[in-house]
Amino acid sequence: MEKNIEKSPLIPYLILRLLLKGEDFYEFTDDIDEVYKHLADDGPKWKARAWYWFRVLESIPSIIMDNIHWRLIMIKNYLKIALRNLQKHKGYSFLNIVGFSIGMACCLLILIYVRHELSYDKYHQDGERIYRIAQDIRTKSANRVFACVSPMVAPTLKADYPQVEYVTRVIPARSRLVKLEGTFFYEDRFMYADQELLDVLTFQFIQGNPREALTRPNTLLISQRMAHKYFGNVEPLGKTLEINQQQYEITGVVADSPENTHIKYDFIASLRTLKDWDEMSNWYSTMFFTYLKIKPNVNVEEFSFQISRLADKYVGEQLDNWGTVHHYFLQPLSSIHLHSHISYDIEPPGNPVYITIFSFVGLFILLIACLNFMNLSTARAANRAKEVGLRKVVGAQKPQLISQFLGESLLIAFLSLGLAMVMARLTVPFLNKLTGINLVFDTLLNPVVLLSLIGGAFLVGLAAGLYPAFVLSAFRPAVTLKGTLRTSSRGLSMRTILVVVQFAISVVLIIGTLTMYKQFNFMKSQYLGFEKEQKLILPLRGGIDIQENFETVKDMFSKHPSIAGVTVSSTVPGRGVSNFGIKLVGEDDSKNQSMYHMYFDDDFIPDYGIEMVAGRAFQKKMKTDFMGAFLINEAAVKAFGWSNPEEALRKRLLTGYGGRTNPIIGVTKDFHYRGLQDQVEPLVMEFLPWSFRYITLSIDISELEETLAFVESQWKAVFPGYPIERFFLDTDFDRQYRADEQVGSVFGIFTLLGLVIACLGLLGLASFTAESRTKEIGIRKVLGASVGGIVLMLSRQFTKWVLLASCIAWPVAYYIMFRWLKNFAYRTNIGIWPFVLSGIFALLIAFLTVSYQSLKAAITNPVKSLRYE
Amino acid sequence: MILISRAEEIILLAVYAYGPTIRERIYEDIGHYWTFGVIYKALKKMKAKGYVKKTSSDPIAERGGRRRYYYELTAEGISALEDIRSIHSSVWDGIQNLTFDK
Repeated sequence: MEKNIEKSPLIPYLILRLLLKGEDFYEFTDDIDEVYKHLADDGPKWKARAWYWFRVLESIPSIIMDNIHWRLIMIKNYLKIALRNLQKHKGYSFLNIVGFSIGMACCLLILIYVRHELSYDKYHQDGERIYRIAQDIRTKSANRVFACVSPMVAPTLKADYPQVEYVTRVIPARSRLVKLEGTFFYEDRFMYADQELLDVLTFQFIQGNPREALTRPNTLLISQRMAHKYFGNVEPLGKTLEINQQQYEITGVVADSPENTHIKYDFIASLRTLKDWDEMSNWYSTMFFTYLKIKPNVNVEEFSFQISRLADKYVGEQLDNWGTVHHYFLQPLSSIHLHSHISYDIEPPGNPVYITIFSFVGLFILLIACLNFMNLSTARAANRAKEVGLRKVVGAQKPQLISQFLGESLLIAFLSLGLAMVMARLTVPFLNKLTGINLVFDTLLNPVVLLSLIGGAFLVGLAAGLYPAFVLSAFRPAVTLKGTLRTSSRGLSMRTILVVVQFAISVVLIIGTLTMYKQFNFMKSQYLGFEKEQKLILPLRGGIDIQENFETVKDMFSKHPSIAGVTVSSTVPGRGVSNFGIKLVGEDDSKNQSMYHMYFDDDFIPDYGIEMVAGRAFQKKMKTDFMGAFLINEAAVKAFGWSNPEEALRKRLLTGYGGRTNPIIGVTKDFHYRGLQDQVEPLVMEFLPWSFRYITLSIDISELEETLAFVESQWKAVFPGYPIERFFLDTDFDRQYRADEQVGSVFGIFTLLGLVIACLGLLGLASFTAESRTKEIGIRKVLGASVGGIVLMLSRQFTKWVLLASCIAWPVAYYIMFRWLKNFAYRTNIGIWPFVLSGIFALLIAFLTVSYQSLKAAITNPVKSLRYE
Repeated sequence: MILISRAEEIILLAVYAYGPTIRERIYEDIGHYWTFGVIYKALKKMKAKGYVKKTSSDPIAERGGRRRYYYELTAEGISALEDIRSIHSSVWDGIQNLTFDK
């Protein structure tokens, strides 16, 4: 037998070495070696080698399968232990999973919101080729940007620039009165558009022919829900609707407007309907939103340079004379919602700042939840120490233990993700109510998002589990199995840092919430320069015109004792003002300005309690005031460069819209005709009846019911056939802050949730500390310590942490809120109170959380506590 | 009753031996070779189920002074084989009555 020194082939041997371990490896190799040696003895060597090779190669699949099989069994065991642990320590698991899932649910909600905001107008076909053309009109002294342009721009683009494939004009017309067989409704989402709208943007046609739906005048596309509202189950195609006294034929039904477009529609009428309107050939009008699709492979930069002065070819000379430049530029369609920054748009734009804020809030909350998990896991380490010791004794390696504990945190992360999905699904409607945005949970249910969510949960589980896994797997079995494991001071300090960071984030969020509320409160309580209480506003909608009979209309409403005054105006504070060019007569064109305009009658200034600083207000007896005089505000005085208001009197202005030249007869004190986010800008006021759109009643609200009934009956008498609408000025004015307030309340809720999660962590930690000091407390009590003293001793530590957290949080919060307040032209000072309050609040919460546990520990009978262990 | 699989049955009938012998016996029984991987995998599983017992021999010079690992049937293994045999015979007995006239 001594000649059998034939060596087996090396490579297959090494393959087996890789795949098999221990006894399995030796059994396999020794067994086939034995046969191999026999073969090598009896036959040619190459045959034996080939045999060896084949036996190894053909076995690889089943060896791998075998490995997977046993690995799975191990994982099953880990899973079983993990689930048992969850069950055994219900309180702890509850804190962990609930904390985690609240954090994740917040993130999911924020994700839905952010995705919604970012998805605006991304659904159109060839979206990257769709642009809106906007302009800025520059004079020597001013530069105003408009999202809308002259109606002549669209035909010019189409005729002069071969790069343009389709171009359409859109002119939104608010508050149309729709009549159908004796029913009346005001509809707001109405617009006129060219046929090519259907080529530029993407509409889903349910009925009708998209090739010719808007080619004829008085044709109308309606959304599906409007088709249902007005026609029910009747076929709408070919039917007519009367809108603002005009008949429209319905030539198509399109799918409802998606939520994520800035052009939301219910009615799209053909722009041909307005073909006789003289504005349609006006190069100086700025009323038409113009969208274009450029041809593929057009160099956009070059193209936008070419069109930047497109009006010059037609009206350049005239513009030169006026010293004005019309500069055109392109806005990519999908950027309009968040990045347009033009004050008048089809829909108020979204605020990219809030996307950043909420993304950070989401990350912070998730961070708090992760820290929580790390904290609770390491704090509880003592409970698992015996298990770790035993596993090590029976042969578990450190990597195995690490993967076991990581697996557990992953399990918790996935469980929490599931729970978070449910929570988010349930809270979306609530969030929608709060924000007024129509968020849809189902946008998360697409494979890409779901996969990345699972990936995210994986990362979160990994991040949160890594530290505890290393701490737990590092226990030495000899120590732990003796059952004397006490946490080291190093572990404690790490946990201290975690708690401090958690509370610091919470304190920042609390200060943010408090400052926001302070600002909103400030805006609501600030005197606006006019009386906003007890004003009932009746908007005149659906094309009601009172320029001939406004005096009679006013009389009709003033016939009631609780109505102290009636005034009519083009707008009311908070409802938007129009902007026109202004020329100071006798000065050169370089002094031209553009200013906001408001039109009202002689009762407006006294009824609204607006103070005059110079001259006088409009008066009924002065016939020349009627369409023949201007009032301006103090800001306008400053803008014209006069040092005091008296200087303005009897100066003459030429207003751009309508071209009237009249003297200034008075200067009003600045009043806030827009919300406090905006500076009071120069305002020109005129007594101009054809623009009256609002009736303001100054009423005594003591007999509100009866007064309202009277108003309603008078309305029916004066405007038969028009449904009445009414609102109170103060609530309507504060509506301007709603977007910000909604953000504020959502922020508040997230703050609260963040705090709850942080408290869950603190609760877990407090119970652990109390538990691990049971013996100490017992001894102290035996030696005569009082319950109060012990509670204080246990709480002192947490107090220190929370104070430290506040100190870190204050400067951060100050900086952030300082930046946020800059969004508002009129702002409250940050002050010291939010900081003090947030500190007290965090301390109180922490104390309450901790005191339950401390109290429990302190009143335990020392006999019991000394006997434990 | 948990039934063993056909592969398990074949292997169980071939034990009281070590790897290479088991493989040869299976070859004699069914006419072709199974891979070592498949055989060890099945043996390992059946060992966990308690059907076979693994014992090691004294060190053998032929194997460079290492042991052989022998497999033998346990009581459970024998009863599992009997179970499958009785199932076989009852199934095959029924073959005359395939007309479902019960």
